[in-house]
Amino acid sequence: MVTKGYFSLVLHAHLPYVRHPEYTYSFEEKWLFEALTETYLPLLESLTRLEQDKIDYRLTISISPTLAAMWQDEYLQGKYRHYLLSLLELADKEVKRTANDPVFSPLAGHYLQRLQSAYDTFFTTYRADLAGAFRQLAAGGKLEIITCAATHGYLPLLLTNPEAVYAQLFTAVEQHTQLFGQAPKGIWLPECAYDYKIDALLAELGINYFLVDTHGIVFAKPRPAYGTYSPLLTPHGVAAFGRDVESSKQVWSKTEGYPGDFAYRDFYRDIGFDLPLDYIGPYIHPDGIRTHTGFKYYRITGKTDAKEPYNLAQAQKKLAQHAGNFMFNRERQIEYVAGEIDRPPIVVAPYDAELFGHWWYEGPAWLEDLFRKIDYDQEVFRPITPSEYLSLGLPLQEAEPSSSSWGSNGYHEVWLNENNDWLYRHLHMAAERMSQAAVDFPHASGLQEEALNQLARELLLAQASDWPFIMTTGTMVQYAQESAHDHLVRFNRLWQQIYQNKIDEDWLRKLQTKDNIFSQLDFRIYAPLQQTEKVMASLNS
Amino acid sequence: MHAPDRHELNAGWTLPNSYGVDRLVLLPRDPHKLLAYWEVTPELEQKYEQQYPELWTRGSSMIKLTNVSTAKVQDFPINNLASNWYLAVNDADQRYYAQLGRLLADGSFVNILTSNAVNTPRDSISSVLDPRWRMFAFWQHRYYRSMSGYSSYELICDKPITEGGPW
Repeated sequence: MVTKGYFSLVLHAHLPYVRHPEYTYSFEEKWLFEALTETYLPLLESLTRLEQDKIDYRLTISISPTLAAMWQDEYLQGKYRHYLLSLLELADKEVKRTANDPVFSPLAGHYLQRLQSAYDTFFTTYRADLAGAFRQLAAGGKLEIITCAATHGYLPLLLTNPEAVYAQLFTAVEQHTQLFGQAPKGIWLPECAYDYKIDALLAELGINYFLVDTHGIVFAKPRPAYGTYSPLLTPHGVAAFGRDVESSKQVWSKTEGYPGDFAYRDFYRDIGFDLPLDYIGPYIHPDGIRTHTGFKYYRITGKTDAKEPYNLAQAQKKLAQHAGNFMFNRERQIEYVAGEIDRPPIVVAPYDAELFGHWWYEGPAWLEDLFRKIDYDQEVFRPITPSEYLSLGLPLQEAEPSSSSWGSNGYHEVWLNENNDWLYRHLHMAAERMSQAAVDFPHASGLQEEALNQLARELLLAQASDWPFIMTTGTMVQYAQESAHDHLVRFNRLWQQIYQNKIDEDWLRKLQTKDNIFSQLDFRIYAPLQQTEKVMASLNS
Repeated sequence: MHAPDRHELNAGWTLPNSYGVDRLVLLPRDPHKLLAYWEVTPELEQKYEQQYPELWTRGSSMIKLTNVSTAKVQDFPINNLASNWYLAVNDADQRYYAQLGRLLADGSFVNILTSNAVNTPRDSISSVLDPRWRMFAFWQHRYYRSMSGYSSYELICDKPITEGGPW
């Protein structure tokens, strides 16, 4: 049977730069450690098994530069080791505590095994080089790693200073190339946020494709012939792929989505909240604030607080069923669409990587099962990466996608509203000053050059879309406000010192140690865009 | 080694209320709303006060939003103390720039600052067709409404998250 169409699963892995050597315990660093244990490592293990079993899978994953930088950061690796060892200790206690309980004992054993495996995989198998592990997998040709903006800046709202957007993209491409061994073919625009002319900057950096939400394509001008079933070619010659609504809904929707199935593990019930403080105390916040530990023994059960115990075998059965259902739906969808249009359609299904494993515990196993089934059980469609689809050589319609994002209501309002709009006057001023500094100090060297590079780092870190996002969603707001504020005031103070030629070296060293991302960053990338060719030439020479 | 905390690194600095730079910046928020923010330095303000004695202080602040494609101008009376304003517009997919100024008691408008120009997003399927491409209509009826919203936030927003992270 001839393949009728293609299916492209894209995961976006990202966390903001949360690195706090000043605290022995940090809620935010725990985001990273949980995502490592529950998402990134299980995903790597699943992909490795698929590779070993010669399954013809295709996965595209964007690894945000802040996340990659945290993976490779020695300080955070040390803290992750500490975190895992502490949880392994708790796992031992849990195994003992539940030894006589036929329902909970297998679960405690399961967590012990999972944590041990996370520890061994991260520190022994991959030698704390997760980027290297992904790079190695990608060499097999079935995994495509793409990049994202340097600190996940919300590009449409930074576009007031095109140089700032260029710097976000340039820095991302540079880090990606260094960590993953080749320049990225595609990019995940942070929050899938696109605005007119961003494609010109992507084209300049050699990026072939990006992804937008459904309406980014559907509202393209001129009207797209195929909807989201084929990418468009933007005015500057970059391909834009659109999110498929049907496959998104099946996984994302809180009412219809798989992750809400009653057999799956409940995220909220956790022994960190359930067990007495004198037992759980050493494994939660040192001040006794109860936190998630990852030991979760109940299933979603239903819209009730009376949760029933989680059953691994039952969940396994359910995820296999869901993988089959997802595949069946794609078969029918692709078969139908292929009959309507004159080319093999592509169905693009993008998700946050952290949904898989962290929120939806069974997610990585579902993904693995889905790819096995796609390979063995059907012939209607093949999995593909966006790059591979482009190399099929189908002519692409030229059209300009609509400005859009995948946030609530589809545009920029999550990142621009009464809760966070104060931020932009500072971000834009800093970007303007940065760009001017690149003009004023093109030949900077020594301490001055180091200060200018740090200035660029502070600007990038202040621009993370996570800060305005958190200000809108209302959880951990203070942390987000402080993060944006702190990077901006450090920027302002350093800027003044540079222009007054009074750089406080001791303070600069502290900033370099704390906000230590992108060691290769050269502030000259902020030169006004008409000058960037010259800058590029000088960087390359 | 002692790792400095945020207070030490911030060295007592906070964000300034103003930068001493006259500017008016326009940002598109969605197809029907834009945000303008501005800073007018006291020097510039004074210059106009002297130029229009009395008339200036009795006047009121106003933003004029010009639709570049249609040349239509929309007036937004604004609070004298405001430093930003959300501007609601009817038509999506338009190019706009804003002017911040003062409506004088004699009815004339004095422009102080002019913004950058921006395009608002689209909110519907384009009526522009490319004759080189055959239109396959089957998917279109489903998309007359904006189809966004199945984000991670949608999935989890009905439950309070104490420390789940920004996903």
